Amino acid sequence: MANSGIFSVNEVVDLINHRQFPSGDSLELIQTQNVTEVMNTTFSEIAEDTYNLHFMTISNLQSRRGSQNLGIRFLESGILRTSSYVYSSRGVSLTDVAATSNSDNATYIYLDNTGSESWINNFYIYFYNLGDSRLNSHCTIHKTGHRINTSGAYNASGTYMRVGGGLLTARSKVDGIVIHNSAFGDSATYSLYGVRGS
Amino acid sequence: MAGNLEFIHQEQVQGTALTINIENVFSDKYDIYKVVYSGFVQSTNVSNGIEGFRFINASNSVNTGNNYAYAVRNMLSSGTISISPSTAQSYIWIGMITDRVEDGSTSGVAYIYNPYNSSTYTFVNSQASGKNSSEKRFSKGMGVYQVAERVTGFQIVETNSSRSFTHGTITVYGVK
Repeated sequence: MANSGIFSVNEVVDLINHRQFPSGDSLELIQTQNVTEVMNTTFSEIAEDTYNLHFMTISNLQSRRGSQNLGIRFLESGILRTSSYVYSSRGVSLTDVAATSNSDNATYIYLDNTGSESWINNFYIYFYNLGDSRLNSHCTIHKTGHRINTSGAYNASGTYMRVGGGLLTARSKVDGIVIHNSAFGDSATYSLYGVRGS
Repeated sequence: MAGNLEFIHQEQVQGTALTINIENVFSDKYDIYKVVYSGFVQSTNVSNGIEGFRFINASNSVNTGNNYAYAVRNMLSSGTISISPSTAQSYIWIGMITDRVEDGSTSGVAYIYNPYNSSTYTFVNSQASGKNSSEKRFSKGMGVYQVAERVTGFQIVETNSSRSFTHGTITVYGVK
């Protein structure tokens, strides 16, 4: 944007909207999506050339219709990648029951599975090097959630946390992120941020 | 300018190096710091782990003594799960594994608590993702530098002299 050296308020607002004006805060919102029973929530504009580190929050993710898998997939040149993912994560319940979920050759990076009941989950996820074709794209994952029954009531023994991560074994430039539900779709608020300067 | 996550410093691996010192990044302005390390690779075709963090005091001296303790949960894509607890170490292991660029890299985020407060220990929690030719590892860790002194910076260290860093970026933010 051409200017005389002094920005007007409208120019500053416009620059902020285009992520071209430093706010002092390095955590910059790219997009928020509120979805209802969506199987593939797609972030196709992730500014992968601007940010080396992305941060995603998934809030109040609700799935109420039985067993389904939840995972992460990437877009390469806008094309959905459905192979060559690996992951490992460790889930722990409040009663200290732990379980590992892992794969060396998966169709997505595992976030969770409902099992026989439904869930309300919350996550934060860091994504690394998505735009750098020389490197693998990685992520680290944190979750806390609670199982619910089909009427929506909380299960008294159903609180879980999970930590872990995953990566795409192919080295490529990733230009999109998809949160995938294998069966019925999720309702949630997804927010994707870029960490400026990373 | 006020903000919640404020950029302080960035350092990139130049040439080849076994240690990377990030100096004079901690101050009385913040209690908590966020360190992002991304795309760390090494010069040789090995399946390697990087030792991790050491701290630099107000005299600009790296503490290489056995003043560090840590515990890291290691989660491998093969299904192997382990914990790496250790005391009286000369570094804080944060779960970084890497290789030459064709075979892998490591990235992660660490938070450092109260480094500039000379009356407290300095604490770390961390998360890492890494790949080398032998494994893919995801880690969650915690560590402590058991010296109550003013800490102004840190070092990322590789102790094997044949395994220089050839690529990597470290970015430090203050958290308000």
